[in-house]
Amino acid sequence: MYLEIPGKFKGLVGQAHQVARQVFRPISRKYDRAEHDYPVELDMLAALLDAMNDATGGIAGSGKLSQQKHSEGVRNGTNMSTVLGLIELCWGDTGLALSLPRQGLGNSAIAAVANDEQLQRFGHKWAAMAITEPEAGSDSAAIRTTAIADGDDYIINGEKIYVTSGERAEAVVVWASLNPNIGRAAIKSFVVEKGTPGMEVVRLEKKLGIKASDTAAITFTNCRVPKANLLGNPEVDTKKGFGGVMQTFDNTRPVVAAMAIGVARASLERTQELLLNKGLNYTKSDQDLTALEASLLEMEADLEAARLLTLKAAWMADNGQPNSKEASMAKAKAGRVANHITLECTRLCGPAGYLEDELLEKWARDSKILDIFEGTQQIQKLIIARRILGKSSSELK
Amino acid sequence: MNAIGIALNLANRFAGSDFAERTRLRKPAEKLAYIVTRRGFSAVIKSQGALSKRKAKTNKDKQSQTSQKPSSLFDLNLSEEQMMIKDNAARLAERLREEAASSAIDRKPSEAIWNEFDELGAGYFILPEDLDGMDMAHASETWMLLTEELARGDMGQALALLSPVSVALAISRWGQSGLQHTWQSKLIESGRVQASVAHQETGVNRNDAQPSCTAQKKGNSYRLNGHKTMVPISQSAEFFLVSASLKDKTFLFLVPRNSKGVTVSQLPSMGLHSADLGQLHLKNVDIPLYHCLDAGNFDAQEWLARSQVAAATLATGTAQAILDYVVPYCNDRKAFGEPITHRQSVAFMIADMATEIEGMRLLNSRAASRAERNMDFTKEARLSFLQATSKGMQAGTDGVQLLGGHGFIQEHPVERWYRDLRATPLLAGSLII
Repeated sequence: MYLEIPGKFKGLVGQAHQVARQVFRPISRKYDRAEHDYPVELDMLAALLDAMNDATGGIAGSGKLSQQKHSEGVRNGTNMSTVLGLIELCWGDTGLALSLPRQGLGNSAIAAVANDEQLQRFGHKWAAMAITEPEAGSDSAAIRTTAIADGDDYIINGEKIYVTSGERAEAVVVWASLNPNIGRAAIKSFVVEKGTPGMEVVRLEKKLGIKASDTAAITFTNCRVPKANLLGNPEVDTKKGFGGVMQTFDNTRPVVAAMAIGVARASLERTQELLLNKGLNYTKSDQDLTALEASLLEMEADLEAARLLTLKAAWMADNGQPNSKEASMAKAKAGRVANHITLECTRLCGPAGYLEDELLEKWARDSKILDIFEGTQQIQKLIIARRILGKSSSELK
Repeated sequence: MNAIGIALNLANRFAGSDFAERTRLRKPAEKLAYIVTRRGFSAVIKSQGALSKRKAKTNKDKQSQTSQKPSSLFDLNLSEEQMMIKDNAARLAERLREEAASSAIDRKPSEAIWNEFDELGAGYFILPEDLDGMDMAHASETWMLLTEELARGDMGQALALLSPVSVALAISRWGQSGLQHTWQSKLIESGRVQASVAHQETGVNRNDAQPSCTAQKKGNSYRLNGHKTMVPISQSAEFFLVSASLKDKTFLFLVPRNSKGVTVSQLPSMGLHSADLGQLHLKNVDIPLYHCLDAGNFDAQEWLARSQVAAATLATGTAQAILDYVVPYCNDRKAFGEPITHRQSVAFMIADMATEIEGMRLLNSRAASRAERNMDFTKEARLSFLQATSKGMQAGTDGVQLLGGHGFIQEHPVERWYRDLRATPLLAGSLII
């Protein structure tokens, strides 16, 4: 047993923290106010990050996540380094971390299922992910966007919303059905490159938080893409089908949990700086604690539990162990405690927590999305409960 | 700010400046940044690697003296030895569960259970190798694993059974050599010496770090005065390890039950009945100086931290027992024509319970693993204790709730677990890891 951050990632964590402190924090408020402005600083940073990734094997984003298969010995690999990197980056700014070029969820999908030819074409493109529709949120099997075969192409029709980096990305991975009558087995993902006729960004959403991240609504009107842009197997297998598409999420849920941990830690640290003369005393008896200290201790315990659950889920992925339940546990716990902590910190700090000269109010807005996207709190609970109770999705709805 | 931080800060300011935009310098600048950074980071990482290797080497020299295990990777796997001990404990836990369910349990573990516990060999784990023991007095992870498994059987019996172990662990960790030898020969003789720690005190003013029980040095002995409560195996213990204030500091004193001035009484409590909790009264009790557990290395905070992890672990095992129980119960229980687990309100409670238990277990594991490696674990212990206190009790109350009216009657064990779990915050100072 060893539950510390491995020495080999100390450098990476330190670098990610410097990025968060020196790059994200100084421009955090600027892009919170200027929603939809492109954070130009990120291009420079992306170049630095590519260099860091090439030098260290990955610090940011979910671009290279996958379930690792290997022969022997314990591994601490990409899943763990990504989680550790994102905790630090989101300590800086969640919206900016989400806006990092080439680190999107679309890249994750490509990394997970693309064939060699597709990797060649799309591997270095910044790819967004388009799943949600106005009438299909958590129930991603209910999507109505269609991709109908026509000669060497598919013709895509439909409307997608909440596409993170939908305007900035160079390509969008779109979920669409080959045949809406068959249901979830017919759902496939397609890479649609920016500029493809028929694909149009119709709107950028105004949001509660993570304003630095652009969230687009995109329509597809007779949008023609080559058949070679379908990711994975084009066959409709009614027996398997959906599982493969959903598998991407087993790898990305711990990453979103990590983001929640980062922003919550930022709030907790800042609140301690503002309200305590020196650090928390972990040996004070329960009855001697002030209400503030008791609250801070409870929050720290919750956060530490969430952090360890997240590391466990990532560790399992790195070691080829199925981690669907653990990934959901991490996401559920981290999502709810991060939202609670950021809100509680604004309360504890009074007006300073509410006004814009501190970032506390921003973190309290940013954290909410982390309990929603990549599967809401409720969806995570469904996944966990079905596993523990041995129930199917038709039994436990 | 280190070198990388300074570089990033400069790059950031430059990237956001109008100057870069106006002069269209950004693209070449990015290219340059890429090359410099890649080379720079490679170098930094290499040098960090070399440094940590050098550090590791000096640590290793130390490790051979302090029996630390070298491991640099995050790893939740158990060693073969740990798995073996855990499996054996799990079998005993099943027996504890049966015993606890039968009303025959007369406020303490039966002789048969004590014998089965002895067969686990905990006494020999503690003894040093030159006495044919396994030299595991410092194997905190193993003690944590054993504690959780036994609590999964029954929290009260686990507390009782592990009390002599904790006293032996404390003596081998902090006792003077004379006391250590005495204790070792007793362990060799019988495998177990009935003893428990007496730490909690009556009244509402609690400060775990400062007992109101006092010790005074009188010539060649310490004189102890005060009252202790919630003392495990109060009927059978031959020795009590009593926490008391000596001047301003807290120490542990080994008090033989037959000392003059010692009386033991009973006072029933909400739960933990199978631990045989009792009260200990000390009136001018004189014990020899070497019965004070201080070979110059005693740290009351460390002792308390070890006990916080043990208490958190007891709660975790008990909460796991609840989860083990409610899953089949709720799957079998039908209402409105289907199993109640087909309802989200029920299923979500169980999902949360499972999640929190896993979180508790990981907090305990981290604290125990740090303790075993001689790393500071004060913070980790407190966090595990806090989380187990609140989430353990949550599991207790949800367990009863999930069974509804059936949860409230003694036909099912959940009401007992509910009562037992309320004791978690009071178990600081009882067992140690």
